[in-house]
Amino acid sequence: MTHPEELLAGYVDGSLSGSDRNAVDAHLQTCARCRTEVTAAGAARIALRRLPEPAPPDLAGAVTAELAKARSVSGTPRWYRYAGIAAAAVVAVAIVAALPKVGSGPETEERAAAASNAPAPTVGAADSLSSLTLELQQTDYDTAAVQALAGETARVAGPSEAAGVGAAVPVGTPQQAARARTCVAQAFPDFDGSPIRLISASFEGTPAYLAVVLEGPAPGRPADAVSIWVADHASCQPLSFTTAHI
Amino acid sequence: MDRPDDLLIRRARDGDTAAFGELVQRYQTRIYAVCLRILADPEEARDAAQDAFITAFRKLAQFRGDAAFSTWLHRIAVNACYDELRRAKRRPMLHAIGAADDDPRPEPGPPSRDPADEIAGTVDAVRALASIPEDFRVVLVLADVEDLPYEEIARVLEVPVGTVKSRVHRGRIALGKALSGEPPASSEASEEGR
Repeated sequence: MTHPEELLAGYVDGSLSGSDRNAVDAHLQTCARCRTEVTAAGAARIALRRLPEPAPPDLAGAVTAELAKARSVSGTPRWYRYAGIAAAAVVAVAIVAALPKVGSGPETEERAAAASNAPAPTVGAADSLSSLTLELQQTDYDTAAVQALAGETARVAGPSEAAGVGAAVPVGTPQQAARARTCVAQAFPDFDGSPIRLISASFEGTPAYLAVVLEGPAPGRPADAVSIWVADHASCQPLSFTTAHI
Repeated sequence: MDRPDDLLIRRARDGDTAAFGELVQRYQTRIYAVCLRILADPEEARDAAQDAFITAFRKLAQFRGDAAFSTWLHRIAVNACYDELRRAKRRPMLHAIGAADDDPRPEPGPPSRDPADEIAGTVDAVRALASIPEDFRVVLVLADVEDLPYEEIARVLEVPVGTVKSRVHRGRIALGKALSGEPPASSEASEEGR
């Protein structure tokens, strides 16, 4: 069953048009999963709407004082501190971009070969590849690094390139790969894609699984997005999610 | 009396810090609220909001007016919050490097709260929001706290509208689960109960 994923947010907050609303109503009649999701999402929205507006500190006074100080004192203005942070972010992106893309090993090569025969990546293409390798990485990802990985994968835009056979990276057993996929599915109730890459690494210091998935408008159609789902290794709870368009 | 943003922006661009102060006055409530709900800490929110306004002043020459000033300012504020989150994560790591091996790391104190949340009885919702992944939190703050339309959120975050919609939906589900008492999604769980 196709779930009207992009309509459900608007359904919950009432921003949908009448015809879309009717379509979602009809779907909800027959789909228990979406009904449960809509209930949970509605409760979350109500809780957020009830949050009081906090009284801000006097930022106008603080900011103008800071600007005046930066101008009059010959020392380094406060914002220069962030030049270093921005540089660090660039380095992080560069490191991720330079990471070896996938492990070696017969399964991976088979997969890459199979994928390279396909004219273009399509949604669900990875289904035919019965065994999926779990890459064992030492990398500690953060939000920016996951976004960079999604962006990089979207740029190369295909399983064959995305799974490009790079330097030797250790890979896990098929059982470990299966556990990783199950864990990500447990973390995200709507995870039903077939990952083109499964990675065991860490996310902000927490051991984590990363599943890289090609998404598209419908099964068999060319993929138009890359999403990365990050789940806690031990508890199988969601840690992060990001999408990049191809 | 109420001068339009454009006039204040023009003056601020020419170096008029008082005009910029008026712009800050105009937007500080919204920008502070965004930072507070993303960071869940009044002091960090104050720092991030202040950094955002100072960055905005510095970059004002680059603001061409092809997006609304408010959209542009929200983008800078969200980025300042991401910076603050990264800094907050590095702090314990830096402490560990600086400390001797046998020096026990001090327990983190309870997170500080906004007094308004105590009064309104929304502390649980704030805690639940803080427990879900950052990307979900950011998009929910923009959609359900700030009430920005999806198109504007897409411009703030510079991602496609479809991504915003699916992230909002998935984020709400994650928050709904956290509110109903399911274990939080990240290592922040260990902070509670101290």
